Amino acid sequence: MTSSRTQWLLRSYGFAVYAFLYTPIAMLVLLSFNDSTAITLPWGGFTLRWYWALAENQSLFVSLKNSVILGLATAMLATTIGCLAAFAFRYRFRGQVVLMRVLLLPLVIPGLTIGVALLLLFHAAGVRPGLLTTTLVAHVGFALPYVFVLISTRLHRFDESLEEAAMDLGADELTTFWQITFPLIRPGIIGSALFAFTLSFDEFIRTLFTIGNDNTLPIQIWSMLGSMVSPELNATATLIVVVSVGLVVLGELFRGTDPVMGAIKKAREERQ
Amino acid sequence: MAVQSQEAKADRQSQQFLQPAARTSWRVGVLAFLHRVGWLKLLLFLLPALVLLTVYLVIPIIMLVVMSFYKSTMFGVIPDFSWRNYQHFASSTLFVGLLGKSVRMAITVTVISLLVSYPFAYFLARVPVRFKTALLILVMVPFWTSYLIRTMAWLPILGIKGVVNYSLLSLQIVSQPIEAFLFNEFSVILTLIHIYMPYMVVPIFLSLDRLDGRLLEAAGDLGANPLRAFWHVTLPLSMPGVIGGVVMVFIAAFGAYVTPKLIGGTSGIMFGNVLADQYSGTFNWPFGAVLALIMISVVLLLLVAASRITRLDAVFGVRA
Repeated sequence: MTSSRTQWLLRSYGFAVYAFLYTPIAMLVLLSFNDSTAITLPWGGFTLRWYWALAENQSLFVSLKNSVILGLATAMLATTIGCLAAFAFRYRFRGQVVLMRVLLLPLVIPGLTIGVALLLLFHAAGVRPGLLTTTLVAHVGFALPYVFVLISTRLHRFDESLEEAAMDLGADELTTFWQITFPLIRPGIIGSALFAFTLSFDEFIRTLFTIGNDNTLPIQIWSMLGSMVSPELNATATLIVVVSVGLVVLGELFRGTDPVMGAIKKAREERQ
Repeated sequence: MAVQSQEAKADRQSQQFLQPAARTSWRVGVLAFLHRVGWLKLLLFLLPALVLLTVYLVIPIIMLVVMSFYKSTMFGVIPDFSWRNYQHFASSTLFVGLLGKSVRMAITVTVISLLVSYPFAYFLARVPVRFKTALLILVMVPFWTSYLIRTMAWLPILGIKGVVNYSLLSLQIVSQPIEAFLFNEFSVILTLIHIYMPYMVVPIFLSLDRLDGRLLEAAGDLGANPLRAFWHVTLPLSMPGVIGGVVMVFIAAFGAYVTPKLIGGTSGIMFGNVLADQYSGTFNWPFGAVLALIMISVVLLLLVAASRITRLDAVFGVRA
């Protein structure tokens, strides 16, 4: 009796928390279709005109293009570097634990201090701030620990006997990597590349201090917030939400189709 | 059909392995060399990450330390080493007070997040297995949309003409719109909780999900009621997750800049805002470096303290 009541209580509580997490974003998306010049209620009817206004906004297109280019470059670099580092950690070596902690340190250093410190560095080095120079460094550095963790956890679950079998059959290390290891961890790699893209696409504070005169989508929103308050803002934000949520869901799907995980799941089911 | 062709492919591949002549000799040489000099291979794997880490983290922090001893003048910064910037901070009630206020606000955010998240994580861990992954992804999805946007989403809700006031007015609960929802400490704390709660939920969920149900059964068999079992078994075993979440939420809230700037008004301002002002408004880079180093020190102190209580590596899901 009581247990079903606690269960019911727990579930309603769970849904209340979901409501708290989602209401603001849902509201934002809803208001981007509101036919009114204020960014809030009352509801003036459904319209797409804020999206049409976006389509005519040239600087928005430039910043969208910049965000995509930067995201792709970040995803490629961070995934490659993170993957290599994760492979190094399959070996045992001295200072491994310390190095691991240093690699994860950027996860906990506030982005604001990193942004400011990078500004000092690039200023002192005489590097002109720009999208694919200073900001790219900031974004790849930001995404690296996430990618590293994702690929490391994947490699920990990896069955090394598969590689040993390939080597026993006469394959050298490179062949083994491309024929055995890589195909098996590919979903994990694609998944983490998508995450890295999303991280870059959403990044704001490190970008603000390193980008100079260029623009990314979040920077564009920031400057829009300062100057105009119109539902166009809601429409822009909705655009970003749709892109990032879509990519994350895609990433999860890729991780879900992981052959390693699939094999583990199957083995587990067979055991039961 | 597909299976057959895959088998044929595997066959061809294994034949490839067995034909050493197909490999170029330099490749054999390089691989053999790398195999002999094991540390070189390791270094090649680690080098890109080490270079990036040096540029992204090590040198910038050294720059902060150096800059903190510089002197800010009308004509820019000059290398005139002294403790003046630190003394300026220590003697300023404004900055020290703001540091205390930010710590207090971050603690408030952390405590409320913990109280809200623990039962929620408990709910997630008890949900039937087939819904579990989907519900967990649902927690993570808002987390992967920019915090700038999740902050900004509160503007049309809490504002003087916002959704909350609109509802209260149309339901005739109040006759005047309430200003107190936005541009103060309350709105900053509320928004920070909203933004960073997933940081708290996920580690607690992971530690609760790992919990062996037989332990609770054993506690029950030995005569403990559910409440006692929770207090003596579940809670202690979920402590690593709790500490991990507390650390992450505190750090995120303490380092906030966007949220207090956008919806904090003048009374909701935090340490991060005056830090950023040294670089965008008043252009006192050396003093800004001191503030940044203080922010980093608070974070590192917390990490050291937390690692005394639990193994933090486990929190990040990485086995070192």
